[in-house]
Amino acid sequence: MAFGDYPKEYNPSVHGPYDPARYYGKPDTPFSQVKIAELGAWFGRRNKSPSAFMGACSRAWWRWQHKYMQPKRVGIAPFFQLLVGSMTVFYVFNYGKLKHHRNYKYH
Amino acid sequence: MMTNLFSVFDPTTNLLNISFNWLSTILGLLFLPYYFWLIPNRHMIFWNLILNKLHNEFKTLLGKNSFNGSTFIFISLFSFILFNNLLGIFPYIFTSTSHLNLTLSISLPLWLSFMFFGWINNTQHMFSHLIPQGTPNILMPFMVLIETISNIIRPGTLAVRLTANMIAGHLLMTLLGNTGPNFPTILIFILIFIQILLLILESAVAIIQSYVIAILSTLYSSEVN
Repeated sequence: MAFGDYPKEYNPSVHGPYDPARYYGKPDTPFSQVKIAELGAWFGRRNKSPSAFMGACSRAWWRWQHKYMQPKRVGIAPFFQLLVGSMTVFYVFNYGKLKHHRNYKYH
Repeated sequence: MMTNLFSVFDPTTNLLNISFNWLSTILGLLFLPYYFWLIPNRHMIFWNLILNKLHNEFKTLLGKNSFNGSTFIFISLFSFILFNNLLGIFPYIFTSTSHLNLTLSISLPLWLSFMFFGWINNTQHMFSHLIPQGTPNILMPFMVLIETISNIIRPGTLAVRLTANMIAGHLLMTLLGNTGPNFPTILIFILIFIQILLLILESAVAIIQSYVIAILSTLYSSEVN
């Protein structure tokens, strides 16, 4: 599978139009239905390669797009979800500097 | 009280000592509406409305001699600066357009390529721009000097205008926000009210400045052909 190709398992004649939010491989037990005892084996079956990880992130992003960004009568909610997410990420990036702000009152 | 007033403009982060704050430059990509369905949704309709308006505006400014599709450069420039400016207003998100590092690396290559295009393809035309129509003969040498200087400082003014505007707004909000702890608690609502007004002003400035930089680059490019 080269960069930018469809997943190997995707077959237009079987699956219809491509959906970037869908996993086309063999479905495993959904994570919410995994028993505690089976958890280790379940994690062992996961593909942990970087490209599989990026694929999972991409599917998650598109699941979010379908649910919040793509509906016809969409409002401003998805923008604020993204904004809160971005602000959190940049807070974490800058926490090393920001934690010193609590000492400003002693200066 | 602040130890350093300019710490909001510091791109460094303590994660692996990499300046991750610069990532906010491309953060706007997440906010752009994507085309997925054939029928556009509200975001797409709104975004297309803005882009079409800008396209028509820039097309008239560029004139008949312009290449087809050259408005796309300036529309992209506008959206890039717009997303950077607007996202930079939100707390903790780094404003990369408040650094000459970024703005000058946009404006200098843009201006330089326009100039080279003009010098190579329309040499006469470029020289004729150095003397405005109807200049008295005695003033001509001075006009050439003045016009040359005003042309050379263009990439600088483009970059500095945007950067200075972003820095000024952030500084004002930081300064005002930091008076909070020393302010009488009963009067804190005045401070919050002023902050809200300032925030509205900054949102307007973010949009206006991105428009200004796009329109000025359009005008500079229309002068070379």
